[in-house]
Amino acid sequence: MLRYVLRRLILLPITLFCIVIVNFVIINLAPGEPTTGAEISPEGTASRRANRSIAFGGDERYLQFREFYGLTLPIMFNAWPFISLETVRSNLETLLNEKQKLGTPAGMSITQYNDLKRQMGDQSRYVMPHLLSILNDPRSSLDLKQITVHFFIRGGSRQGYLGSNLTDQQREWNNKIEKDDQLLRSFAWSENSSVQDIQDTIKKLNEWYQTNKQFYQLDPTISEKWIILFTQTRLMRYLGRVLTLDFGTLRDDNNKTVISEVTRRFKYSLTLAILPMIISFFLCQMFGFIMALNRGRSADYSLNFIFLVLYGIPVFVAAPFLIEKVALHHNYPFTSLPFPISGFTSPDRIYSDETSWQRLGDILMHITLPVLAIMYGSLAAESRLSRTAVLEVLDQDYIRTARAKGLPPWRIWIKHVGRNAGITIVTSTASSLGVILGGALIVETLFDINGFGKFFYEAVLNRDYNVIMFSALAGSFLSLLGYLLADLAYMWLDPRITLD
Amino acid sequence: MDKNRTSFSVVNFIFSCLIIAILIIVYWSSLLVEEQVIALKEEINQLKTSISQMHELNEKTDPQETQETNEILLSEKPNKNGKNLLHPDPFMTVTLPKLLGPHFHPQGVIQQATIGRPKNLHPFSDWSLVVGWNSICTAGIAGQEVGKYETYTPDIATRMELRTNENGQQEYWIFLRNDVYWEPLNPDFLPGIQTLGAIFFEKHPVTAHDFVFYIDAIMNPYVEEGLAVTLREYLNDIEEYRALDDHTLVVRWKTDQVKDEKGNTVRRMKYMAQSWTTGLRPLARFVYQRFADGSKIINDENNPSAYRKSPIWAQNFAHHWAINYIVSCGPWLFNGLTERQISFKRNPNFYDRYAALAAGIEVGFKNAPDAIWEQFKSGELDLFEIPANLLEELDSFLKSTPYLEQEKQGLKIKRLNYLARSYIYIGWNETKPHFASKKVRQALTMAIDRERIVKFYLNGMGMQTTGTFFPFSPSYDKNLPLYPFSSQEALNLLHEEGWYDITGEGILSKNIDGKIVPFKFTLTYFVKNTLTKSICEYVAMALKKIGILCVLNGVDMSDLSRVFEEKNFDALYMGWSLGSPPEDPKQIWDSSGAKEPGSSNAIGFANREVDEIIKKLEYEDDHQKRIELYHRFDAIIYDEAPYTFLFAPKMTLLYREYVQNVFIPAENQELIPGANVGEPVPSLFWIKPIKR
Repeated sequence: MLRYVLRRLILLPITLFCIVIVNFVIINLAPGEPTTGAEISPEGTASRRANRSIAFGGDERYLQFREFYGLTLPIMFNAWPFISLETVRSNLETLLNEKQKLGTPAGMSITQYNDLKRQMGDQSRYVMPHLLSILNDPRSSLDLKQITVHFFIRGGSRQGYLGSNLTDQQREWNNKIEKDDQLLRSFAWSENSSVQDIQDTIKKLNEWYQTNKQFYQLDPTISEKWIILFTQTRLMRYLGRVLTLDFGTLRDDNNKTVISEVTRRFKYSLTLAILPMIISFFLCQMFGFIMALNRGRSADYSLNFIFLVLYGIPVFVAAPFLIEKVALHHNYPFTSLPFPISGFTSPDRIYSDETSWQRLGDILMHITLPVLAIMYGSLAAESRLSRTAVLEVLDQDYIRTARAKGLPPWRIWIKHVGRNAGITIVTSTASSLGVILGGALIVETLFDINGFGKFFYEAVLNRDYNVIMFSALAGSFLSLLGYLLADLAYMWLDPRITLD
Repeated sequence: MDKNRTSFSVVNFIFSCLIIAILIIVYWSSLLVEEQVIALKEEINQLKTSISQMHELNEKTDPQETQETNEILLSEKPNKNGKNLLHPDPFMTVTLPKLLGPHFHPQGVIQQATIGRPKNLHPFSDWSLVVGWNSICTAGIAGQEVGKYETYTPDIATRMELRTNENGQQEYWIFLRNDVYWEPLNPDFLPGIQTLGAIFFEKHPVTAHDFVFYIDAIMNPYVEEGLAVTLREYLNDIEEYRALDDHTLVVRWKTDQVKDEKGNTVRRMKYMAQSWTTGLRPLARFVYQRFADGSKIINDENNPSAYRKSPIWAQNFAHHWAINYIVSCGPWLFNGLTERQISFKRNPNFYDRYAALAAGIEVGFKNAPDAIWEQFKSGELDLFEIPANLLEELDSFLKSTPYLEQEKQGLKIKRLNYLARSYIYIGWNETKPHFASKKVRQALTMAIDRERIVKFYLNGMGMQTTGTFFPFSPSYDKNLPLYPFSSQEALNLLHEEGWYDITGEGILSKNIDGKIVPFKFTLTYFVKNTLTKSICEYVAMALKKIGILCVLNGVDMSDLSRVFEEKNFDALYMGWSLGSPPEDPKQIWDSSGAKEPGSSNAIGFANREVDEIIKKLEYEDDHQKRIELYHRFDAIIYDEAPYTFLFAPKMTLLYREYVQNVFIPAENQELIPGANVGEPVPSLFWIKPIKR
């Protein structure tokens, strides 16, 4: 058994790695980026503000943000250092020529133009020698040189290290790029610049390049290019962090790590996933027995009918029904305590003044309806499953033997029937361990509980790559773990099964 | 053997009981301690309230006295001969104190909810609610009179003068109060920050250097936050700004040569310069220049332009450790942001005791209007802007037993209708051959029954408009008639432009360059709004009736943004939220943006006369002439019909009876003579205590 478990555990990281690769590629290839998105008015209408405009600068748009999250890098392989001078020149000329025809039927669409500009901007760091060649080439027109300088500046600019806990080396780097970025920006010339100004600027750019090409690795050797091909990519950047268990921060607040945010929501989702799972496990066993032992009688038919109806009601119908018809303006039976309609607890102002008993009561009052909404569907399904399992076991020879032996019925039900019928339920329950992380999105949304479901759903909408990747990774991990646990549970419940 | 076993069981039982009893006693005593701690907490809170009440009673003085004190508070003596451009608001200084009475004390927490949670609370976030929250927690150079556009009242600045310097250039001299403070940071609201420097636990005066820092931050080209980028476009016109001392700020704007009334060439700064100057706000240097441990982000010694140029500071500012905190110096203090709500509490130390009239504000984050509606119905919220589609539900709720029960408890629901500062339109992309002619655009407008949209789709909660300005603004020309709804007239106009049913299939076509081109286009809209979807479906149906094929293209927000910015659409259903007067039509209508990707002139509108009017409006400071220019602008837009102005939505604010001061200034001239603002003023709301 130990060998089996070890084998499974060794296979686990390999499977996870494959899952990470597939997810990473899908997420990065999906249309849209974290930088896209706009505001929706309170009425839900798409609107913009007339006294505000949004800067739109092609490759420079949200540059800091894209750099920070590594979105300026290619996804899997970085072949940009291998781009030829001709390609760079041709791209720059296209950008130059198409600008005039932009939006007209004869020219490129603005989308294509921007994509090319953004791609050129991202590549510029790796084609600096080519950019310099174009600048130094007497055949290059002034307009071409102007656009080349733009990308040269972009390629030469770097990001600093953030935060106060920096090493001396990092501080030195920050000081260096602080000076260099400002210097490079001062090299951009305007349309009014004279030819002499432009020549002077190109001279300064050459000087800057010669001084810094070693420091910034602006002219990589062939071996360095091959290293860049595999290392300077989004995937490697991500994997590099994941291997040290650094899952990154939220896209909107880098003080909050993904792990800390997930941990904070753990209590909500764990309660909403585990509690209904446990309750429904016992209840379904009970109902399964009742139905199986009363097979063909009215109790069996009526319970079957009720569960069939419950199974057929979708949660997005049941949850609003519970809110509107049960919670709103009603109290808990025999009390004057109103049903809370949303949240996991009372507002912070009230909750923080409660004693621990009151807090427990408060939470229980708040989660009654959400737990009910999550549970009823699985309870219905698993009760019917349990009924079948119990019936199957009741027909077995060893049960007949146990009865013939004169064992009391309750002992037969618990020790022989219950244990064997439980295998079916355990399989379905254990393999749904990954669901904890998925959360009960609809219930969380309708009851306004801030669990995983809502968190991950919003991350998808918000294109928060770190959170999405973590959810995929952790969800897969829990599922795989669930399957392993299910296999072990089989063995424990049915001595006939061995894992060797 | 049995005897031993029995005695063992007895001992075992006694020990178990003892352990349980001890555990119960330990828990019971901890419970008592817990209760005492909670009681203590309550007492401290009561004590705090009492102290703040006493503090306010001590500070109660009459307005004239306050004004004199303000003069003394100024560090530099202003030029007494110079004209103060700021004037006290008679409503705030006289009418409101009378309305509230001498025994008024702000109390109660105003409970509201909003859809969605802001990504962060960055001072330059362009999320409109965050902008609003940042503004109530800080104070600007000047405010606006309650209910009146284009008025300037003292705020942090008590005085603002337009002076001429030794070079003959005009500059604004702004004199600031010295009794406005940045409140210390509360570490409880900064989760994840392990060590907070001692500097953040002290009060800091708001000085002219904080305003300079604000401008520096905006002008830093590496700062990419939406609001900063937008403001940079305007503040680029500042030629020089400097803090003479802690409480004197000087701002000089660029000037341009223009012709005056007599035809002489004179140098003038833009008309909006004054409004933009009064809109400057302070940015807390003691926080945003530092890391959480209190050390400086960059070395700014001997480098006055450090924050204006530094990329390292800009990067740290974008990911600042206090990104989810609002550093407060205004009438409201930030009181925490959680996953489900943001809270504010009244600033008892703020100089104007009438600037915040409740003890607190709580804004919950919800996913949908329905969730807010449920909460409002249950009495958990005090205010709710109800969408048009829930109005029928409101009517039935008002007749229900639970509501009648609520009414008896003093929770009666009141409603206030007002026109939202926005409009919804269909923009016709003028670069597309179908929409190049104004007659075609006029015809499209006439073919759509806008009255039907307001009546049936909005339950009457909308108003038809003719132009781009807010109907309550003097810039809006009320004399322009609405385009009539007439399919026949629309068809006639289309025939004039050569669109006929050539093929006999009921679809209009035109011979363009020898090719028969059918009148078919795509209408792009935001798919997740059901109302938008229904209206677009109606528009497609209405156009089909006159032989135009309108293909609907529902897209998500990110795609809509992209389509808008890249001008990659035929027609677009969208809305504009409007600012307050003085309006600047340049952003949407100037031809300079017609071909520029990302510009707000997404439809490619270009008209030489409009460009001239926009240019004149930039420098014209005669009120009457400005109105004439605006009305001429209105007339051109009306004639050109670049948009079909569908409606300006009407809002219905529901509020519980105990929320006071909910009124529309323009409709209450007896309170505010000359008021022209057509929306309620949330800063005036207060809670009347009720016994439930």
